[in-house]
Amino acid sequence: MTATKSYYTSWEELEAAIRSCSRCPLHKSRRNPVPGEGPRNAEVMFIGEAPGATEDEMGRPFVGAAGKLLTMALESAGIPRSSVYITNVVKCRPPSNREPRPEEIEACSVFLESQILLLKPRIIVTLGNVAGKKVFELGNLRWSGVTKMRGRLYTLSILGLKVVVIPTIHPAAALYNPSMRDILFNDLKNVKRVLDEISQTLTVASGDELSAPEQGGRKAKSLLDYVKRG
Amino acid sequence: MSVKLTIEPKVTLSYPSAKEFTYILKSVAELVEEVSFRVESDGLKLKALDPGRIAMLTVTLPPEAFQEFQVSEPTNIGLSVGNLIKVLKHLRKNDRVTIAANEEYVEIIIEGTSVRRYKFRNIEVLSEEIPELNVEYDVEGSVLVGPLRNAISELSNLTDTIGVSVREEAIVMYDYDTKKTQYRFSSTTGTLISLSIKKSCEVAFDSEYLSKIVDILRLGSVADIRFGSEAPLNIEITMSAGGRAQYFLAAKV
Repeated sequence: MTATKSYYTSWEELEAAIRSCSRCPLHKSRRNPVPGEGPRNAEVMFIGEAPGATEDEMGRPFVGAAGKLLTMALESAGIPRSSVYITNVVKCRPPSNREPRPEEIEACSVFLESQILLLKPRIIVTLGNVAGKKVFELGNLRWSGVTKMRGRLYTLSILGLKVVVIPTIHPAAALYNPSMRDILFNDLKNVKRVLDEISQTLTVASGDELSAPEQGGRKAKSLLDYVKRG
Repeated sequence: MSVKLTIEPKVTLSYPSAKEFTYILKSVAELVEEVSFRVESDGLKLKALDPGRIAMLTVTLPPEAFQEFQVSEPTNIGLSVGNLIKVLKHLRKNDRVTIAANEEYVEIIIEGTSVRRYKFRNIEVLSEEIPELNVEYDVEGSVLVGPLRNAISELSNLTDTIGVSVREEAIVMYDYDTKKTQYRFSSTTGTLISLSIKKSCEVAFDSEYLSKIVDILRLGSVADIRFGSEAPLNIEITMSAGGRAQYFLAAKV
């Protein structure tokens, strides 16, 4: 499968474009744009909704209260935060923490798509409805809301890349709700399991193209996992 | 049939109870937006695979299930399920539904106290074929449909995930997250008719997907239920009016 070429040829060029962006009105009220952070060869990409007040202040993603919960959930699942790439659908803070508008998401889409193309993640974890909807739109699959879609893995073709997408709730939704917190923590444990399986598959396949994770021996997530093979 | 058709049909089917046919279509409509019925001399078959490939419903109705069953040539009937449901709503139990089709048109006639006639284009439905499932079930049992419907409906209102397991010679469905609510199907209570256990297992399924078949369960009195640690959930009912429906649901993570 050939990936679509990135709109920006390097991370530096992409981040410079984000920092100087004035494609939508959000640039007027932002203090700092928040491009994203993490290793540029990370296997897992986390995509949230939009920066909040602390993120806007610091220019870094998920560093407020919800970010701390995300970091805790990651560490609890055995995934060091420093090993994953974290970004948002929109890179500038919407005023009063409102949900980003469709035209703002559309204007910022080029940056998210470029990040996916440059990073080429094996796994994308979408946090909340806005990120899930956007990523599934890129994967050309219908999004039916995070409550319904979470808890499963989806192998999507996004911009020519085969990616395992794992939708879960936004950490902000789990901040004051213990049952939601359990859901977030459990979902991230699944991310770790899939990541381990992918690593094993890569070791065995020694450089072959990654099989869809459902063919890698994990528990079935769609009916195709039970299909007779060979 | 008593009412004249306006098309030259290649197949003509009359189903004795329109209400029952609506139950089938309602379950299909939960999974897909368009459906294709394959009508051949040995009966009507439909397969609805949801776009996420999480669930699949297959329905087979033999010629005996129909009041009238005439096939001059095997024909596919492609319809938008949503529109069909709108047409078929407000049906009375004993209304008779007749479906006639050729390659171009599908004509549906509902006969009750009055006669209603609808004509649609026979649409070509692109559906994904799923190869044969390679399944070994750990548990196979038969349960009464009424209690099964209640369990699915009530658990779906309580939880996103329904656990299914076997405990002490009983099939248990329960709220997977909190484990506070459970429904037991056992021979003691009379809700379990048979049970065969190869291996004990506990599997979780999406409650919303499970609740999609509540309507179709009305068509039978006993459901065969199969599941396993490496298998989808399979619920099969033999319809009172003849025919079978099978629902396959992949396990949740």
